[in-house]
Amino acid sequence: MKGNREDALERDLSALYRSDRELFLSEQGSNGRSELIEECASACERELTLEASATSPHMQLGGFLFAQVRFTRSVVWTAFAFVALLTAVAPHVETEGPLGSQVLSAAGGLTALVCLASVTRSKPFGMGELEAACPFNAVSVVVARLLLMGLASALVLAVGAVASGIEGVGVARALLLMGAPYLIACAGGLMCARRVSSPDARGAAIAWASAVTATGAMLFYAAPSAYAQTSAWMWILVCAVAGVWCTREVRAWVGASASGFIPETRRTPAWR
Amino acid sequence: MELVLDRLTKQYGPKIAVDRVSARLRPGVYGLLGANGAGKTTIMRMICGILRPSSGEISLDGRSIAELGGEYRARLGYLPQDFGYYPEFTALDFMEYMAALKGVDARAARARSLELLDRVGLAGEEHRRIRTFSGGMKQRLGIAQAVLNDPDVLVLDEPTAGLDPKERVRFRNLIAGFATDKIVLLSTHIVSDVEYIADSILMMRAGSFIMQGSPAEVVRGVKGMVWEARVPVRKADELASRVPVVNVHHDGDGMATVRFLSSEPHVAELSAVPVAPTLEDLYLHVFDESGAEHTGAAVPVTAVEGQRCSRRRGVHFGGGRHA
Repeated sequence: MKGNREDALERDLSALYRSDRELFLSEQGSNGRSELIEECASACERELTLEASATSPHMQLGGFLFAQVRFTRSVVWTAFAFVALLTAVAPHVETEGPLGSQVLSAAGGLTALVCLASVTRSKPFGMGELEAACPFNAVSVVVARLLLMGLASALVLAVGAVASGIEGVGVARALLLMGAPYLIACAGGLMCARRVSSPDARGAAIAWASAVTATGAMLFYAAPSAYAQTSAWMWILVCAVAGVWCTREVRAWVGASASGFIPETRRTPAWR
Repeated sequence: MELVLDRLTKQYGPKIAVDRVSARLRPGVYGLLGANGAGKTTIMRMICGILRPSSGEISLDGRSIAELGGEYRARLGYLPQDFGYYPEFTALDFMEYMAALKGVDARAARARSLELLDRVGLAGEEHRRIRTFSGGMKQRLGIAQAVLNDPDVLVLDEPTAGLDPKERVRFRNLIAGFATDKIVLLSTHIVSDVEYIADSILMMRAGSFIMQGSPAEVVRGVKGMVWEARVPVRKADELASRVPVVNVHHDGDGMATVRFLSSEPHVAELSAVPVAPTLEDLYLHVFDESGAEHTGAAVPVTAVEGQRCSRRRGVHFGGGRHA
């Protein structure tokens, strides 16, 4: 009995498929079926290609780096351009004079300020945790931003050095005048951003860089000649110490990014 | 596909946030239930590779996720509890940025982003800044980015917190739609959010899994303990001081219908009738406000596969109280 019922069902299904096929052929013609098969095959190929390209096993490093450039706000590049202009103009202000030195130092601090505003973005806007769970994780994002901002800063400092060289101020001296406040501002800015709570991280970094720039200006106005005539060895020492400090803070910042900048207080529950 | 948590522990100094948790997760929706401070977010962050376990291991298909690194994260989708975004981003910017971080090809990213925005009900909003979105819209954007790379493992931390009921239903339906052939781990303290879509419930307290099973299986733990009685309003208040009350509905005639939990037979004086238990009843029984432990005969603990029962070390977070 059961076998008879199953056979009857099979026969009915076959009849249904046959009638569907005949209806399709009568509507589409004899070529319709082969065209439909070709279309289905092409659609499957397209879908497979899209899937394969969508998540490449080698991951899209170029796409990731391009995205870091693309999603850096245009105001950042404008700010870099402004500071580069400042460094280009500085040697003309007072060749070998104190004011030119102060402008170069201020440019160093401002370059650091622009860098910090971009490098520290993940923490205050709570993106660190999301980024940390991606193939190109928060560490990759931070390193990419450091490289990008570092390259831009190097370009700005190079413009200032070259302009100073042309005006006879001295390339090395110009680099020291810009480099010292730049490194002090970057180091302290990253330290402040790392230690304060997330919403205040970026503000703290910018505040530090602003303070370094302002302090340089105050020192200059307090004793302009002494400021400008500070020996190169003193500037070299300051740069070296600031460089070591900056390296440590960069490492610490990259380390903090590995856990998505999750604040220590949030790693423990609200009640204790 | 199998995600294995093997004696996972996270300790901050003397304080233990997650205590030797073990589980085997296969494709399906897992609801991670627990009070605030139970350790749900900590577990999720460890599964996503954001926090390193103090001890124990997480492995996917037999390979440690620490060893897999980016290869594992390419199969992962995550929506954190506190969902951040860059303020100048539009919805499409955000999706394309996340696509770049997830290694999605730039040409495919735009098409996929638009498709997902449409699927989560944000079609037409792609060029709007995220900061102008409502809470529900942001959460939908969050789920869209979490599935950008079609992950095998989807981790959602309190995805419905702060949403209105309509948004929560919509969100549940979205998750159910995305959950095919994936391991979906969804944490919440809103019981109804998981009751309908979870294949398995993982109940957590003080850093440990205390229960695992399908909703029907775990709910059996309070079978015969859930009652409803129609009593005068004054008596309803008195009852609340004696037994855990799940719900009081004032009927408007000086009487109230009280749903409560009790294993004692004294309820006959109230003309109480037993009712079918729900997950919410179980949750309230396990996490009652007295903070009392309920791991004895009243609620049999369903052993979690691989879970060792051992004495508790150190100070544990969470417990039998609501935050």
